[in-house]
Amino acid sequence: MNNFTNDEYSLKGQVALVTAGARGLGRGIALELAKCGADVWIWDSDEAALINMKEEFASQGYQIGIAMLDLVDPILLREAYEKLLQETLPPQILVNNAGGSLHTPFRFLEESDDDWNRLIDLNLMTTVRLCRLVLPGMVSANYGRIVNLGSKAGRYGSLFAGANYVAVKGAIHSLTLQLAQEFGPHGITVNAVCPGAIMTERVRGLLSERQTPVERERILKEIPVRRHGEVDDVSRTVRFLVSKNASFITGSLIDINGGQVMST
Amino acid sequence: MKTVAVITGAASNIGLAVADRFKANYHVIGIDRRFNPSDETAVNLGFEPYSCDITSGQDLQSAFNYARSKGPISVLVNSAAITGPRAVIPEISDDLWNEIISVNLSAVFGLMKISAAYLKESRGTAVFVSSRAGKVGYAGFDPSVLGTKAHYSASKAGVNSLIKSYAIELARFGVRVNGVAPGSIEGTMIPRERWGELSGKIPLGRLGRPEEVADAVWFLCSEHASYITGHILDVNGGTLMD
Repeated sequence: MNNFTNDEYSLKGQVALVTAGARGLGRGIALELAKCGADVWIWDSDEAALINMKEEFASQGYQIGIAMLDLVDPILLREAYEKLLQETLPPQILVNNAGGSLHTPFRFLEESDDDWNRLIDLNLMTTVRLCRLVLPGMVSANYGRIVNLGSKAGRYGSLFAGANYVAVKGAIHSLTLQLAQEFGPHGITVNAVCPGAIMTERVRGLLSERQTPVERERILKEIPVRRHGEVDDVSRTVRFLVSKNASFITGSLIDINGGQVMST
Repeated sequence: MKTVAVITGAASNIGLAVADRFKANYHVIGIDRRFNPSDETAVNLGFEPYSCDITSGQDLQSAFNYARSKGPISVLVNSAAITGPRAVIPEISDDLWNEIISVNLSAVFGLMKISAAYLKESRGTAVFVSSRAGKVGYAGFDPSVLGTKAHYSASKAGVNSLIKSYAIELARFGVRVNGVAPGSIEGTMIPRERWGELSGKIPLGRLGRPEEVADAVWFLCSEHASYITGHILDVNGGTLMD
């Protein structure tokens, strides 16, 4: 298979903001973007993981900016963005990776209003607020790339995450389409990646807790490529979507699920 | 040693852009019935033109035999397609219907039959150029203009379905199969005088370029799309979002 050169995907001179980027998928995405020369900024609530990541990236020759904040707090988000603008240029790239099911119940009838509200806040409203902060700068520059983290769950339902998670991911997909339409005339593309089960620490934990070994084996057999996804499978697609090579792709929800489900 | 990329419809438009995109990294065999081996312009393409009518299984097999003689075939991109005029269904002749189905759909079936063994051998990958029309027909176009391209839309919808079957069948052999669904792309399929009118209906405000579709094909064929199979990637500037 062909390999991309970093030149082809060069993001030199571009500022990229990745939320919840200190571990898991966000970390992998941040690393891909840093490898392409982007000026990467990571926002996350886990200070220790952020510091650890900054040191590790530095040891590989990548300098990144970090900020520790609670991403669901709109005031802190605004303050962090104002601070970011004092230190660097407005981001041309935004990756809305903050999200998750927060260990809320799988069964719908066991989910409380609070379980729903917390997921709406973390997954959807954080994405809404970040887009609201970043889009004016992209409009001024007549250029921008936004990638939202959707999910196979939001498109086709889930075998281990609950209705609250599925619904908020569906909302993120809809938001992606609407923003793509509204901001396309300003040279801004908005897309989403929709991964299946990607083997991050969090997903491994959920799978082992909510599925028996027999169930896990059966599900694996239902994935045409016969393996679960890895972080790289997603981060490299994000890298494509923020590059010049995806300049006519907007409002696209890209399945990264090994063929487990195929859209119409 | 470079592996071989077989690219159909390579004489013009998206197929030519794909061949051009791949030629630095692959030994590209560009298939098109319009190629004439004695044509000097073909000599300057930077890839190997091969004259072949993809609706003939025999011709296709010969083309693949030839391509394999140059190395393992690790990439197949099908871009060969034709279209016809907008017309209401009662006015589409059987001949036109059969011709479009033959080139756009039956030939894809033939390509899949023949290419499977080669792709399995190389654990390669395939991308089929479909169309936005294959997903939604001509929905969204001005309904006051009578007639759609039912022939073209139906053929591409069939291709979308074949892509998924082929993806499932070959996944266990390490072969990924995907499609791209371009919207309005600059080229000979859309008369230039319509480009301005169409641009106003596209969120990104312009038609796409064949090179932009080639970039999407290139991505899907790369290791960067390592967990993507059976997907039909929209390249339409936002005119259809799914």
